[in-house]
Amino acid sequence: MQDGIVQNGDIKVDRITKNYGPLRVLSGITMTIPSQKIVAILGPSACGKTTFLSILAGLVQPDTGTVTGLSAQGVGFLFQEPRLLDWLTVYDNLTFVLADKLPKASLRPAIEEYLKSMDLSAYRDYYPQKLSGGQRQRVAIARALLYPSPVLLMDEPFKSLDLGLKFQLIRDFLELWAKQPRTVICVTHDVKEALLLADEIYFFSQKPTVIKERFIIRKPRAERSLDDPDLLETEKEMIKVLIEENNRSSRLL
Amino acid sequence: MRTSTNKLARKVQLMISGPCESWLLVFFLWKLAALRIGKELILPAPERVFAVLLNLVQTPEFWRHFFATLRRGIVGFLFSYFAGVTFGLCAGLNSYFNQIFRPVLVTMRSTPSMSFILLALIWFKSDAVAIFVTFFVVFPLVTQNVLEGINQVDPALLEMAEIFRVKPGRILWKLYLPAILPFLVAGAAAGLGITWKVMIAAEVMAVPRWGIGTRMDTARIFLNTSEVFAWTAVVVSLGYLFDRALAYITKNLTLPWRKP
Repeated sequence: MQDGIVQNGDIKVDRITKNYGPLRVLSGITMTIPSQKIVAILGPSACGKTTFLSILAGLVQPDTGTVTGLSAQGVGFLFQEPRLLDWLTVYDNLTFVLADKLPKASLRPAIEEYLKSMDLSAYRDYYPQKLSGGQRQRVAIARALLYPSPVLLMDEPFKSLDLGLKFQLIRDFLELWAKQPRTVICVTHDVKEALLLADEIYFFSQKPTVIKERFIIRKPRAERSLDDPDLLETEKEMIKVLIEENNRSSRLL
Repeated sequence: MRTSTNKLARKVQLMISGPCESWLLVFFLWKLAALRIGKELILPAPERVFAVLLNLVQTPEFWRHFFATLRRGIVGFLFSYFAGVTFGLCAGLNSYFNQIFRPVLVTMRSTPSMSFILLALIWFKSDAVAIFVTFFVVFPLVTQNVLEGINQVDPALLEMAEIFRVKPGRILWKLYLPAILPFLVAGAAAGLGITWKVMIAAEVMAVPRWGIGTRMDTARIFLNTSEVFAWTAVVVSLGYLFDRALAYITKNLTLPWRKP
């Protein structure tokens, strides 16, 4: 599919802490994110998931601790909202980010190919306002996956979509990802979404945030479905952890 | 065919009926007031002003005065506008520059135009006074508009560009400039509106050889109120013409992403 992606190996997060004033948000997060795997991060609202992602993206510096193994090429990012420029067409929105990131000769074919994969070929010259919410998020997915980095960060990327569209987009995303796997770290609050996407799922606790649980999903992604008994069992366990954590936080309040 | 003619007629009617009615009302009230006062020296009747104007436009001097003011106005406005946009961008994108520049901007905005005129009279030849004064009045106005535009740019888009490591030049041309376009247009409209007012005031004070302000001052000295009115009508028409031209350009520079 794409040239120029140098795989970097595992990402090692070592005892990351982050405080905002007197408030400790992250309290010694340590994890290893295996190369070309999808890792989901779940946790109660406002537990610092997005802060953690911002640290990985280089937008926020941790107070202590280190992150190693991130690419010098930067990271791809899929936001909760599409974050497209209203005044650029679908194609130009992609070149806005990719023009100097991909070799000139392969830029157009690569964009055309991803637009085709995302059923957007007919919309390449459309402005974002003329697209549906799902189509806009597809453009954002194409942009994130075309970005030549071995690491992709996702911040609740399917949150604002309705249920049917959400699972359709997850399928489309996985199909494209499988053609050229890269390390994905996906923050989400949706247990089902995490089960369909991830190889490993980390549960963050309430603030000060530590890793509360870690689940490994061994079932091949292609065989996963929402009514799979094994996954339903894991889902129950995960929901139990979530409820426990929420109860703990309401007791603290 | 008949329907399209009707449509066109309706459009023309809509375009002129509003202004026509309001102008008629103004002329009517003006005429009433002139009749009531009964002294041309204080308030000449509209038809008298029209006659003076008609005489004026037939003289070659009128056009020399007219084009001198027009040239100064355009030069003064364009210079102030592009300087305002450049400084506005620099201040909006660089907080250090903004910190240094903001007090200067506030000082310029709060200094009375008359202070600039008086200082310019001391410093410059009369020809340059009007351009200098226009600059000091229009420049902060445009800069302020650009700064406001930059403050309104969606931070989520800037964060996206930062994460994807988009080059600064591309961010400026493809993100900032289109995002602040409405503010650039608003700045141009406000700047143009004030240019003619300041320009005439400066010309009246500086009395350059050629310029509408010079003629207005001469008419004042000779107590030729009708001529002062006639020149005022010329300046108002000039402002109106530029306002319409800008509106036309803005309308035709249709932002394609906003088309229904």
